[in-house]
Amino acid sequence: MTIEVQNINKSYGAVKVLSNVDLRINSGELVSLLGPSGSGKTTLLRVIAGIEQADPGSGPISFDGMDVSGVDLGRRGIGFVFQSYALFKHLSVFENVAFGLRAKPRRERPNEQQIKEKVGSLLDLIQLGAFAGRYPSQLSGGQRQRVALARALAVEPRVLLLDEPFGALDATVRRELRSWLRHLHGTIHVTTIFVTHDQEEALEVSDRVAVMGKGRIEQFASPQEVYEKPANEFVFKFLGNYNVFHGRSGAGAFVRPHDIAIFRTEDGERPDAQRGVVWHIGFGGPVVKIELQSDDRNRIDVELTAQAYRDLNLKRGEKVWFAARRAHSDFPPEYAI
Amino acid sequence: MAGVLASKAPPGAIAARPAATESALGRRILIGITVAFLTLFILIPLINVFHQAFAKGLDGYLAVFFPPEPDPNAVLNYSQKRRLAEAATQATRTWHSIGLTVAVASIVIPLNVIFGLAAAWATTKFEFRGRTLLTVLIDLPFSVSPVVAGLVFVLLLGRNGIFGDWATQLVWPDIFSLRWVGFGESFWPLAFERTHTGIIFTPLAIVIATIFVTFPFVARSLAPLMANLGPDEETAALSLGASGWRTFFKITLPNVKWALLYGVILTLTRAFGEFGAVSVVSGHIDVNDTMPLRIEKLWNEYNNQAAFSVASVLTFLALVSLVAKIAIEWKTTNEAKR
Amino acid sequence: MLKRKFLALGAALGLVGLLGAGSTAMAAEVRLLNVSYDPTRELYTQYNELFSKTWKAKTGDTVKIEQSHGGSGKQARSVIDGLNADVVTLALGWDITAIERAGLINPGWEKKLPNNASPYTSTIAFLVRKGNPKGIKDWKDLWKPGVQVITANPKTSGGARWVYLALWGALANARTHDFSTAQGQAEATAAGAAAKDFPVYQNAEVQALIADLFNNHVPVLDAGARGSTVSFAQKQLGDVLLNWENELWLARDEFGPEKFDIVYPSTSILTEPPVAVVDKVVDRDGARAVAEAYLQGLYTPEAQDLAGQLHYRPRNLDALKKYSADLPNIPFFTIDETFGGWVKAQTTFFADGGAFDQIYHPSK
Ligand SMILES: Nc1ncnc2c1ncn2[C@@H]1O[C@H](COP(=O)(O)OP(=O)(O)OP(=O)(O)O)[C@@H](O)[C@H]1O
Ligand SMILES: [Mg+2]
Repeated sequence: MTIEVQNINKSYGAVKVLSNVDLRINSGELVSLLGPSGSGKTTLLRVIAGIEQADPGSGPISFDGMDVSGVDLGRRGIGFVFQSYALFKHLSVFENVAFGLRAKPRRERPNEQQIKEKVGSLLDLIQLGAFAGRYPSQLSGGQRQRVALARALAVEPRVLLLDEPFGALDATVRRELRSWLRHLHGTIHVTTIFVTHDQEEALEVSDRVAVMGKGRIEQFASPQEVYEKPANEFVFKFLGNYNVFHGRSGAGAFVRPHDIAIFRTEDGERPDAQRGVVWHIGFGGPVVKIELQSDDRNRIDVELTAQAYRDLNLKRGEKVWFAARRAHSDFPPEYAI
Repeated sequence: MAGVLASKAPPGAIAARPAATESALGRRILIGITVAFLTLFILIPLINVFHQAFAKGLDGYLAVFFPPEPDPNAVLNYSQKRRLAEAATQATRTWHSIGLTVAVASIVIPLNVIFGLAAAWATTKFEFRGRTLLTVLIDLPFSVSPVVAGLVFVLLLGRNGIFGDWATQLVWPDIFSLRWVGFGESFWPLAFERTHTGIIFTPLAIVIATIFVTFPFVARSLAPLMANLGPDEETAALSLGASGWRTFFKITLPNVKWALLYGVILTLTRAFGEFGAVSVVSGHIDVNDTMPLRIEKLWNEYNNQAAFSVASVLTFLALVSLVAKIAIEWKTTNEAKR
Repeated sequence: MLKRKFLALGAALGLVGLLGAGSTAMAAEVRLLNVSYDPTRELYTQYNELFSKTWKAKTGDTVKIEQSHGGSGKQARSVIDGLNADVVTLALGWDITAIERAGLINPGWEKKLPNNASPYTSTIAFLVRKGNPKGIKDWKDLWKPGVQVITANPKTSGGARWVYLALWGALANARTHDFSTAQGQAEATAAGAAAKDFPVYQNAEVQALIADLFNNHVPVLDAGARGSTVSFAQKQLGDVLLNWENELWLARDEFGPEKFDIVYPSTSILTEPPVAVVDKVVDRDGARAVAEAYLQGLYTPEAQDLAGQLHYRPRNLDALKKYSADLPNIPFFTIDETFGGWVKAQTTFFADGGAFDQIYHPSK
């Protein structure tokens, strides 16, 4: 199902939290909302779900071309997963997942046998088949998160809305669940919006990424595009570490750590190369993080592949040359009015 | 020994040791004061209630509730007959007061459960203008003297009150006078044998006054919990297509059931024990006596032992509810730990 | 779900039906509410039994009489505020006048029943500790050095107002009558009706004496008559209690004759607690006949005997004679002859800013 929102505004009192948000999501797409804390990701997701109402004068929220802004939360056909899981503490895993089925109007409500089968298959899907009788308090964080997902999926939503689903989990579990979600999406193909403030997560999982800053969508494009061609300085800065190179003209250029080359001898083909001292070497598995101090006393972060590092055989305190392989400089002014 | 150890210990520990013994002494003194205070002001009066109630032995105690039946063969003189009749009247009035107290509580509790849930819900789950005012209003009955509360209802519902014209002419059936009258008179076989006119100085006023003084208990015991739980579980239920009612009964209520029960127990204890407000609106009519009012009347009739006997029933109830309260607290903290 | 809805609908309909039925099918039982002052609980408990029996025998109807007792003034206030009294039997005429002024009782109620609508009388006497250690025999003994007098607050207690009037009349040597004879009673009634001027009010000497008594001999003023009895008898305060005669007898009976003596002064006031039908209420509820019969019944020989037995003074001379051992005859003055009735006494003495407020300074 396609989701389209136009010109959404939302304020809490005098504070404007969303301004003129437009978003068009294709059917079956997995889109992430990425942005720093407080940028309005949750708010946008809640407005789409119908938990929160957009300010009067906002544009429509359309599911498959139909405006649902007047439709109740329970009738929009969404599955919502909270950052806090919001599992029903007093119900077993089975009953949590079955809740939406039992709440259906009598005519659509499956019978007990069907509920059992459906919940059973969902529990298998989330690999918690053996945990049906447990209570949420007896599950680990990752297990709870999966139950919350299964509960949302049980009603066969047309849209899945996930608010930082892996926010509270440790790195390993996050990575696991991330690929599991990708896999799940591959099997059920439900249009999914996924909120995160983790750049890596967003870039890895989604079909497209909407980068949010201060209540606006700064760029909405494929992971590769937002990373390679950030629409503005904000997006660039938010998506990863960077160094600032001051050219002779005085204008700054932004360079990612892995876009810097280090070499030992002066190279005629690199007239812009600068000199620096190896200040620190950090081993990080496949990449090695080198800290240089340039002659003009700036700190420069460089990332080398393990192979490149080995080939160079760098030592601490050694004098080297470095140069940007690729720089971003010509961003449009940040807030053109 | 301790001194030797202390002198060898680092400076931080030297300071810590005397402080620890001092606080142990202080603790002992504090505990002592508390125990003495509790004994003097709570335990002794409590024991005294039962001591006075049994001043005439178990028979005397029971006679307050079950007056002695005269031996049908005995020849009684006038004053003996009078005494028996008096005992019977007193026991009837006492039972009536017990019945009224139970009836009032059983009307007040469900109403206050509904009001309390609504109030706690409104003040914790919504942001709206005047929310703080509403919170203050909910607590108001705690800060108003019960006698003043009673007088307020007299001023509202009395003949010269704001709603006086309407309230003193209102005719309403006494739900406890519902009787089977058969099909002779009308289509319905049930009828109320009694109606009341007016509100103030009737059992309805007692119900209203009791609702007023007990209103905050349910709301107060629910509000912190509801605020703590936040709206997420309910929003989740709604997003899964559950109706508002279903969400309330399946999600909200189970989450707050212990707090609710706690509030109900507090309400019950107060509804049984309320004196001031009820006294003012009862009109001092004997049939409007709840147990506390009955106790006062017995006392004023110099019937101390009977007064304490009725008081012992209230005291016993208070002790039971205390145990229930402790049990709930224990249960909820244990559940929270789990 | 649907089934449940139908059930709820049925229940709701049923409730409406029941309410409807309630208003059509009313039972024939009659209820009467007698709003009275504190000490009369026992009297009316017994009289109610008596009246129910006679009423049942006469009409076949069951009458259930409910009682309400409290401070006389407070009770009057409750009736004005909406307490559905069919009859009021209060401590003093002023309280019934207050209800009359609120429009609930028709004027002229004093004349609807014999003896100023007061079926029994009482008086104010003394209760002292056994053996009368302070030798209190008459009013003047109250001023003896060191004597502590217990009475209630005339501002709040009906009985205490009678005490105040008794003090004042006795000190001013009010004219007395012999109420043990029909002739004496008739004389007193005639004198009360004929009285024009009331010199007692101008008696500055009496006023000074009373001010001295309340300021220097009265340690505490309880709010009600019963409260003052408790102070004296249970809390052991003071040397002499001034109170209703029947209240003194009750205390003596409850605590034992070995503890207290009742002392009658040389003269005292004839206290006349009045009774009246609350016209507005009985007319609304259709209870006039039974209410009037209830009050008239108080004058029957059986009721008069009951009053005497419980230490009220019957109007009926035979009954009075029967209990004369407990209710000794002393010369009495009346409020009508001495003070010109309750309205005058109330406004002069007890109204806010009246004589009592001027003389009594509890802080001194
Ligand atoms: N109920 C509310 N009342 C007032 N302000 C709110 C409310 N909810 C959110 N806000 C404000 O709206 C802004 C956006 O909040 P939102 O929760 O959408 O941010 P977010 O991008 O989800 O942040 P995070 O990554 O920390 O979850 C924040 O400044 C927040 O303080
Ligand atoms: Mg958020």
